[in-house]
Amino acid sequence: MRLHQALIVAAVLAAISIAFLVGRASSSDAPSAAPAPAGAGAAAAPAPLTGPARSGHAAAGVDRGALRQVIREELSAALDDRDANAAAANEPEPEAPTKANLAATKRAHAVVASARKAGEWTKADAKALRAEFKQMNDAQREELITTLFPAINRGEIKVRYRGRPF
Amino acid sequence: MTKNKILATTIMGVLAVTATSAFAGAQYIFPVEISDNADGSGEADGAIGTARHEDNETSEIGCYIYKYGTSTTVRATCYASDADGNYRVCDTTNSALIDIIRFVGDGTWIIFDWDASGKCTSADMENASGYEPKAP
Repeated sequence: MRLHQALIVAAVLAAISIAFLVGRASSSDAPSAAPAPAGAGAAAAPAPLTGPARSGHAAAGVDRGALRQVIREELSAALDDRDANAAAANEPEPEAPTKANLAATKRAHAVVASARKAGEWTKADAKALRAEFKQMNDAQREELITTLFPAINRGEIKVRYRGRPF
Repeated sequence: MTKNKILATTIMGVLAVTATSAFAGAQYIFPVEISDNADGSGEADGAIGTARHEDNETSEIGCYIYKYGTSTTVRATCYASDADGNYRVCDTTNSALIDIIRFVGDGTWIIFDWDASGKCTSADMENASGYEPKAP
């Protein structure tokens, strides 16, 4: 079982246990609370947490609605945490640079630097870049694309053939 | 062939041509257009079929999707070139944008936007009968 699932199950069980214990405590208080005479003692009784009292439990200072709300919020938070962790777990691990992809990245940047100097992007450049791209990792590709594409879009590098950039 | 037969054939021919053109349906012409903003962002749009049939050698628009090597990341690139040869391009790894880009077909009207770093910020693809197919 995954850690997150185990935590959620534990949270649910804890919430149910708390609700049960509080319910029992309230029930045992209820008979004495209900017949309490009006006066100083009644005025000193703690007020319900929220809203109007729905049962005798409110007289003991516990409101079932409030308790439900707390449990709902805790469960919701636990589920949110699980979703966030699951999303993070689906993120691909960054690939570690290797000697081969570092060399490919160096050559790819040289192609772009040469194109920038010439002010044009040729079919040969595209073919060379595509070959290097296959050996690079995602972060290296990202860095190269965010160098080349803005230069093309600003007109600093003119594409001299028809078709895709690489 | 008598004069009457020639006249009748001519009239039928004219009627046939007229009838055909009268029920051609809506046809949209969207040449490639590029709009640049001062901050390096911009937008390109155009219909694939229109771009292919424009009366110049530079107009084109398209998108492609790829994944290289052991990478788990799918990337997409959209590019466009207008009648003056201005070329614009953007890249994305955003799965929502890639889902939209997959929609590109033979007669798609493509609109895409990019930011100053060359990343695609929006993609809008429409397939409709009014767009001419790119063939031939």
